[in-house]
Amino acid sequence: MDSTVFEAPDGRRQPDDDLATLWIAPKSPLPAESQRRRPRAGVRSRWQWLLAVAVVIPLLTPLYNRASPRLFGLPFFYWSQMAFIGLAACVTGAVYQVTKRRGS
Amino acid sequence: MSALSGRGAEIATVIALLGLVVGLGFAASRWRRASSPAGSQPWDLEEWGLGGRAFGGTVTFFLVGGDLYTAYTLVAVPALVYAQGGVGFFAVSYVAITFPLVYLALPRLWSVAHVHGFVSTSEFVRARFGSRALSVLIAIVAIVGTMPYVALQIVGLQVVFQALGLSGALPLLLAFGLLAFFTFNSGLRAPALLAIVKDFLLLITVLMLLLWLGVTEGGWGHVIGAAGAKFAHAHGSGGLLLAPAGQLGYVTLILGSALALFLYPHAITGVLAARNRATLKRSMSTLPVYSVMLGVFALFGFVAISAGIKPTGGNVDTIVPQLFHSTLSGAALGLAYAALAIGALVPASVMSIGAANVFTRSIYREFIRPDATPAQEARVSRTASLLVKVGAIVVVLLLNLQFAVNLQLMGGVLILQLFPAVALGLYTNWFHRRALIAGLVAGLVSGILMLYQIPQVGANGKITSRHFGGSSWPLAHLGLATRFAIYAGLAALAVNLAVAAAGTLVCHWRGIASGADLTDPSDYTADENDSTVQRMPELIDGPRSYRARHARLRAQRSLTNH
Repeated sequence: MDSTVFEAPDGRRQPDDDLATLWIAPKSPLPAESQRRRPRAGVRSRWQWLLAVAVVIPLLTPLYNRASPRLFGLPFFYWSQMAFIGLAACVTGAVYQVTKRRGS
Repeated sequence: MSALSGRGAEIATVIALLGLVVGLGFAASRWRRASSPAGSQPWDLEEWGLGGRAFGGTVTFFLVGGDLYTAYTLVAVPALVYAQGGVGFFAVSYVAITFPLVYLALPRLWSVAHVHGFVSTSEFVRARFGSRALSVLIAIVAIVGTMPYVALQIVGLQVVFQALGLSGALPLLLAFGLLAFFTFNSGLRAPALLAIVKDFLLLITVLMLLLWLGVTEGGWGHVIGAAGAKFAHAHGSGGLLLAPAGQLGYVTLILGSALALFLYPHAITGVLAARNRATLKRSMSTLPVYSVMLGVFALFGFVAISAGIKPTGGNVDTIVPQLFHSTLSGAALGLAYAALAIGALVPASVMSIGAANVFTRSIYREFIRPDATPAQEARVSRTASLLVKVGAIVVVLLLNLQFAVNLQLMGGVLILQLFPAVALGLYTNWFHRRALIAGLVAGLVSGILMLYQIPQVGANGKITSRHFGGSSWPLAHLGLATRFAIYAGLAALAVNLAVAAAGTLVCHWRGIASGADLTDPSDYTADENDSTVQRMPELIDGPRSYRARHARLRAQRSLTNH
C-alpha cells in the first residue's frame, strides 16, 4: 500500500513540531513504536527546574508573612502574593518560549 | 435622574445581559463546527463534550480560566477575607502555583487522551493500570466531588438574585433551566463562548470598583487601616497577617488546593478541548495573569470592611453584592450583578459537561452498553448533564445551604485522593492497581473522618457545629502537643500515598499480576499532526471524529489484511 498516506494531508505544523517530521519516517506502512519517539533534550529539563521555583516560593510563608515594606498602602503579605502571580506567568512563559525553540 | 440610573435600569441591564447569554448559548452550537457536512451527522461525544477538540489558545485561556474562577469563588473568597483576613488570600497563591505545577503534566494528559480518544481521566486510568474497578471508583469520586461544586454555583446565583430583590425559587429555576437547555443543545461550545463574555463583564466590574476606590476611599492605605482596626478589635478571629500557628495550615491548603484543581473533571474538560500541546502550554503560561483579578476581588473583602458593610441575615457571602450595591447604581450595578450571575452559569455548564462525560465513558459504556455508538454516547452525556444540574438544584432547594458548603468542602478532599492514580499515573505505572484502590479508599475514609472531627467556630469564638466545620485538621488529634493544623485533604493524600506505595510493594513481592498498560511511552508526547493522533479513519474518510484505540487498531488491522 502507499506509504505517503501517513504524511499530514495539509502540511499544517505547529512551530515546535518541526522535528516530528524527521522522526516519523514513512518507512513502513504502520508507524512502529520505536519511530514515534522524540528526542530528549537535556537543555529542556534544565529550564524546567524554573517551574519548581515558582511553585516553592509561595509555599514559604515566613518569607512573606509580614506587613512591611508596603506598596500602595498594601502590606507585604498581599502585594508579594500578587507578585508571585507575575513570577508564575514569567516562569511558565519563559519555559514555553525556550522549549518551543528547542523543539520539545 | 436619567433612565440610566435607578432600579429599572439595573434590572433591565441584568435581563438584557442574561438574555444575550442565553441567545449566545444556543447559537454556540454552530460556532467552530468542523467543515465536514455538519448537521447531517449526529453529534458524537467529542463534538458535544469537548467542542470537537479544536479550541485555540484564546478560547482555551478563557474556557479554563472561566471554569476555575467561579461565581462562588468571587463571592466566597472576599467573604473569607472579610471575616478572617489574610487566610482568605490563600486562593490567590494557590492559583499562582497551580499553573507552573501542572505545566508539564497536562500536556502529557492531553497527548495520551488524544491518542486513545479519552474524554475523562477515569478512562486514562483504566488504560494505564488495566483496572475497571479502579476506573469506576475514580469516576464515582469525580462525579460526587463535582456535584456540590455545581450546587455552589446555584448558591452564587441565589446571592445575586436576592440582591436584585428576586427571592424565591422561581428565578433560580428559570436561570438554571435555561442553562440546562443551552448546555444540552450546544455542549462545550456554549460555555467556551460565554466565558469570554463573562470575563469581559467581570473586568469592567473590577475596573469600575477600583475607580470608585481611587476616587472616594482614599486608596488601599485607608482600607487596610480600617480592616486592621476591625481585626484588632475582634480578638482571635483573623488578622491582616497569618498567626504563627496558622502558617502550616495555610501552606498545606495552598498546596492541596493546587494539586486538586486539575483533578476536577471540569478542569480536565477545558484542557482536553485544546487543539494541540502548544496551545495548551501557551494558555497555561498566560493563565496565572487571570488570578490578578481574583487577588483584587479578594481585597474587596477589606474594602467592604472599610465601607462599613454588614452581611445580611448573617450570611457573609452577601458582602460582595452589597459592596456593589453601595458603590454602583443603575446600569453599572446591573452589569456587575450580571457578571456574577454569568460567572455562575459558565462553570456550572462546564462542570455538568465534565461530570456527564465521566459518567458516559466510565459507567455507561463500561457497564450498561459497551457497544454504544458515538451518537448514543453523546445522547447519554447530554441527558446526564441535565441530571447533574437537577441533582444540584435539589440539593440547594431541599437541603440547607450549609449542607452544600459542607459537601463542597468534602468534595475538594475527595477529589484530591485521585492524585496517585491520575497525576502520578501520567509518569509511572509502577503502582499496582489493587494498591491504588486500597490507597484511594484509605484516603477517602481518612479524609472524611478528619473533616468529621473539625468543629465549626462562630465569629464570637463559640462552637456552632461540632462536625464538618472546616478543612483545617488540628495535629493535636495525633497526640502532638501543638496548635498547628494541616489541610485535611493533604493529610488524607499522605495516607493514600503511603497505603498505595506499601500495597504496591506487597503486591510485587507476592507476585500478584499487574494490570496491562495499554499506553506506550510515546503516547504521552504525541502532538496534533503525529501519525498516532492523525488517525487512520481521518486519512481515509476525511476529517471526522476520533475513535477509541481498540476501534482504530481494528481498522488498521483490516487495512493491512487487504
